[in-house]
Amino acid sequence: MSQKFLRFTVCFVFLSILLSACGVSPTMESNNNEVVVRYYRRGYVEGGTDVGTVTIRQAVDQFMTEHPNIQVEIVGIPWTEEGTAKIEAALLTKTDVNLISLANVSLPGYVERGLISPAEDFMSEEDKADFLPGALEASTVNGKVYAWPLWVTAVAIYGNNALFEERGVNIPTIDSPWTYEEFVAAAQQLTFEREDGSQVYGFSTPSMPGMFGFLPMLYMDGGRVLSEDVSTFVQNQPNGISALQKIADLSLKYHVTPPDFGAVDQASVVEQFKEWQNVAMIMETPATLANLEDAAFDFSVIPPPVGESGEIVTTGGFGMFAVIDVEDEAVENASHLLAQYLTSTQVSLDVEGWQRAPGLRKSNTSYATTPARELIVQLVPYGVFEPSANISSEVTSQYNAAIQSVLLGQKTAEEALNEIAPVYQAELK
Amino acid sequence: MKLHWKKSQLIWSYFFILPAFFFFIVFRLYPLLHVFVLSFQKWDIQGAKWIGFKNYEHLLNSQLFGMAFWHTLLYTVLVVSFWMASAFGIAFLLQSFHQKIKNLFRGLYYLPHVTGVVVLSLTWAWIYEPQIGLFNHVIKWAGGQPVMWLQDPNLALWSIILSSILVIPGSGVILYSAAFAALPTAFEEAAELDGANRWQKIFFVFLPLLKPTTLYLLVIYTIAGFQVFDRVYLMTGGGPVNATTTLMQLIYLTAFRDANYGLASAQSAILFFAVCSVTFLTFRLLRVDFTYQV
Repeated sequence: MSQKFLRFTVCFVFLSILLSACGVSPTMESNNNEVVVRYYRRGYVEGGTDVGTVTIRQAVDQFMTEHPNIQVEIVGIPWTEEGTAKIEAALLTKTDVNLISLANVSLPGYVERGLISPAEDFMSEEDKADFLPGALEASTVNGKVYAWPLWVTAVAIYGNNALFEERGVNIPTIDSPWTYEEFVAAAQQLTFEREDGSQVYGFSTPSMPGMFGFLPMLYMDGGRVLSEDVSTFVQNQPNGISALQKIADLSLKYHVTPPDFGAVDQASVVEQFKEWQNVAMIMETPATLANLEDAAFDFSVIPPPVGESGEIVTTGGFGMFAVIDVEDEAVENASHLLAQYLTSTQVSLDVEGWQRAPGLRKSNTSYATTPARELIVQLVPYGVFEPSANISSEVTSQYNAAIQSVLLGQKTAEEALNEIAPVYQAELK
Repeated sequence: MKLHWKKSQLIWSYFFILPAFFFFIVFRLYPLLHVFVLSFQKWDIQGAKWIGFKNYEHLLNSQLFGMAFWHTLLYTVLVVSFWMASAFGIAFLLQSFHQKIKNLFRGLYYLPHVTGVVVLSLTWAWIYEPQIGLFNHVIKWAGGQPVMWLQDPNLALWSIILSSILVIPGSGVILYSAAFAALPTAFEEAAELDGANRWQKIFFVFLPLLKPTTLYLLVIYTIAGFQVFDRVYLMTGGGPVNATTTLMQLIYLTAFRDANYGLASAQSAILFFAVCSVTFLTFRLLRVDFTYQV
């Protein structure tokens, strides 16, 4: 009796395991009455209270109210490479990811892999006329607009007003920006030792591979990383070399940066500026502006210094939405409809705090709500936004290492850029 | 009848291990074998294309892969050597203590293992912080110049190695302690009668008798050394100037940042063969060809 019972139990458990393994996932169930769009959103946390999470939830809820037949599921993923891994895993199936938000540098890779449904086919003439030309260019791969542009992050300098006042340094304006030499002089003036022996540094910016914050300064002498047709690596030309060397000189020659300059991440830079207040100026994206505003920090936005090009230069990344190419046409259309709404002027009116960087539609002026934000908007036309190339992680690592070796004083800009040039060029087939 | 009963027992025992074996095949063996297949392919989301040894050729010519391999090897050799020596040394010293004190120290040495690697790594990142970190604080207090522990490419890997070896391997201490306790005292007494001093007893009595424990720990630690990832990822991200990039990190980036699964599989296959080779050599060198009885 007991042996029979044991056999029955074992068989039952085994069959249960097998059956559960063969079961249909609830996420695969379809409902004929509505279309389900799954939107992968970096930084979104279900139930979270941060601005990014709250505003995207509100925007999606508003969209679903207006389109009751479309159900949107937001899948939160981290900003790190784990998040990328999660997107990749979803893309492998092509069944449970329909819309992703991404930066312009990632777009060519996705397009070349045949994953993206072109936005151009879905855009109305009004949309095309409303988007700034630079925005559509940044969303274009091989002559076709693939993504819906949302905003652009114009990198600027953020100054600690209290330290500027303490050291008697005037804040420049966009009409009368600092030259590189004036910027160095100000940074030197802002580098000092406090009475308690603690050191204050004039300037810092993220300088870890993958999060270089000094990018506008790379272009200040007129140089570029790539040629316009993305066929040639040109950063090793004189105006590219001189700009990189000037950035390194801030640490190596003028000593106006903290000792970790050259290998410091974004969080540490913001912490040094905002919490420790031992850095007077940082070069950062508009995300930091929102962070400082939330903390009621007394700061000013300062245009990047002007180099030999004679003009202010900023840069940054374009935030955009891309629809995944799937077989179900209804889902694909619904995804484009959602992307259209999330990049519209209307969403910035529907959801307070939605616009966290300058918008890319002519009709959208909702970002410039403070003088600091107004200056960021004024900087956008000075943006140098290089076309993206699909470079492998290995060469990207080598390129980043080359730049870092200059910042850390291991090589001169000329040596490092001439060494990396043939390696990089080999990828630009 | 008796034979029939034994067969039945045998069938049932196989039946009981079947679920575990099934999961081993599906989640361990199949992925492992599939890695080798993938390593000969250019594999992305659009499908797979057979490319022969091209991934391996690429790795042979890759400066970054060579650098990552060397960093991993250096880390493994130094860290495993120190872990083995410190685990053995501490377990040996603990033998002379009272049982209660022994237990207390075993617990203390095991404590870091209860703490996650993430917490340990972030603690070390703070210790190495250039401006407010503990080490530089002490150096400044002593009148020295701050050291860029994790920011200097010439120093970063050594700093990570230091952070690893300064965390005494609690599992090793416990296993060696247990092994010491199980050793017959007759061998030590015989050595003492023959006039052996402390070092001679260590090298000619204890170490040979503890070969099985040494073999087990060496294999486990070597595998852990070759697979070092989280510590490097959290403390330096592989930088500066790729000075701390390890094989596992390179595999991770190639697969999940670059979506180049074929190349990542080739990297994984090389790592697999490296670990297997070292493990095989370890087994050959430390194989036990004796038994002892109390």
